[in-house]
Amino acid sequence: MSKYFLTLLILFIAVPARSYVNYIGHGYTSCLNCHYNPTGGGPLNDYGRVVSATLISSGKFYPVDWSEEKIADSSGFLGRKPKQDWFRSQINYRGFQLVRDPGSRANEVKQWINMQFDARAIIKFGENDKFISVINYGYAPLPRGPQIPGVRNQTEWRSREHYIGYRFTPKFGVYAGLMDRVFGLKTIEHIAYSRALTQQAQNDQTHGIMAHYIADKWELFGQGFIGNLSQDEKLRMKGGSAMVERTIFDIHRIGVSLKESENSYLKLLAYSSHLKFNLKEGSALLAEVGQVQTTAKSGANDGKSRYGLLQTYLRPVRGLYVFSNIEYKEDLVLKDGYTVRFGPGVQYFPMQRFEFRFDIYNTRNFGPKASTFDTWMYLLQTHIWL
Amino acid sequence: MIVGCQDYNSNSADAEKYGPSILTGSSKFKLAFPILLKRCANCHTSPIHSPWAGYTNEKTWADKNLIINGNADNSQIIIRTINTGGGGDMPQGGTAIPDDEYQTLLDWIKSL
Repeated sequence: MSKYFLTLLILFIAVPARSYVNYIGHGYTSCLNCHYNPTGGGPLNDYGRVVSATLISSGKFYPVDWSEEKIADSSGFLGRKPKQDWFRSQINYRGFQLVRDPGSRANEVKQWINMQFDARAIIKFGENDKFISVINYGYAPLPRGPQIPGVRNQTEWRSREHYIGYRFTPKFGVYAGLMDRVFGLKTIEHIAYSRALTQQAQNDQTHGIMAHYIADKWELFGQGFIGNLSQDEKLRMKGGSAMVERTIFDIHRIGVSLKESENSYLKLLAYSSHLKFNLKEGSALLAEVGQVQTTAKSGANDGKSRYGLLQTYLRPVRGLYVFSNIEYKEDLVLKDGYTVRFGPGVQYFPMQRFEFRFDIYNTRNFGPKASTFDTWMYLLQTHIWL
Repeated sequence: MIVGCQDYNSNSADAEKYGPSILTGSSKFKLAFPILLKRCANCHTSPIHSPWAGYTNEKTWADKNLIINGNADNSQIIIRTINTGGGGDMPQGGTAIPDDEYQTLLDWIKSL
């Protein structure tokens, strides 16, 4: 067994880490071990690629004579083991077939949506990748319908991320550039109420500076941001956010988040608390509750909303995750009831670089006057990363 | 059809949603538009629908066949909206919009 693989194996056993938030079920409490960005998301580091190949993905589709070591060695870009330490590249695609109101002749909508098509480059130097530089450039099809007046630079090609990071010590690092905002659970479902209401959706990256500290039990994030500089100056959300997480009972995590931001039209205050339970053997339970207050500077259209999220992931066999999703939101200003969205799903990683996912969503409104028909939709998602 | 998942980002339409009015149209349209934003535009945005928050010109609503000028009873906005008098299926999964808001929409379309 090579030294390289042994080192990774030891790291894997000894160090808590994480990729998708539910991977706390594999003992990963922090994103940093698998991602260059300590908040998770974006490119995987070498260790994360090995984990995705050997732990997350099913081993059934590799040749029978391939050892785990060989699978790990093939986890690099285009299946090759990197020959140098300073440069990495990745290509990432996500698309899905959305079917809304299935079976309804009048209202059924079928649509293929390209969610993400990114090319990523990482330059890194120093011990334990002390210095990193990440560029994530992607294709984002324009939203359907006319462009919104006043919104400049709606473009199909955009930088999703570009930042540099420096870890002064293994425990403390600083990152600067365009990146995700720090707040709450970074669930993979960017349409989740917990992400949409808090403005933590797919394209909500911001320019800013983030400090990250990790210790045995604690992980702290603080970020100051000035909005996305490619956007009209008046629309850029400026402000700050912070998140604190603590490990409890060695394998679970609880956390709180706070974000305050504003642009020329709007002030937003969001706060939340979350927990990540390790149900072991790859299974996990995730929960978040939060509240968002929006104040229009023109004096109209203020809002206050409350949301909740509960997800369970069960892993019956390697490569397969069966999950359920329950979400809640309530508009505290309109006071017209609350909305619940729930549904099961299945996620399958036949081998590294491929993820297939099936989600069912049922959305139902419970109002003080009259409840009406609930809505159904399902997604068939394909995720390929090279 | 290839479409994207989100507008440029969550704040792309803040000027229309929260800013001083840039609306083009009658005074009744300026009363009706905030209701359409509040009750409809949250769902009528990408990726499923066209982003109604961008329909700041009164004429666009007729061009998109969402209203028929002067004919509220046969306008999609009125036919589809749930009201306390019964009927309608929008907001989908939602409740009836308040009578005063419904009346504002009626007044706007009838005035055209």
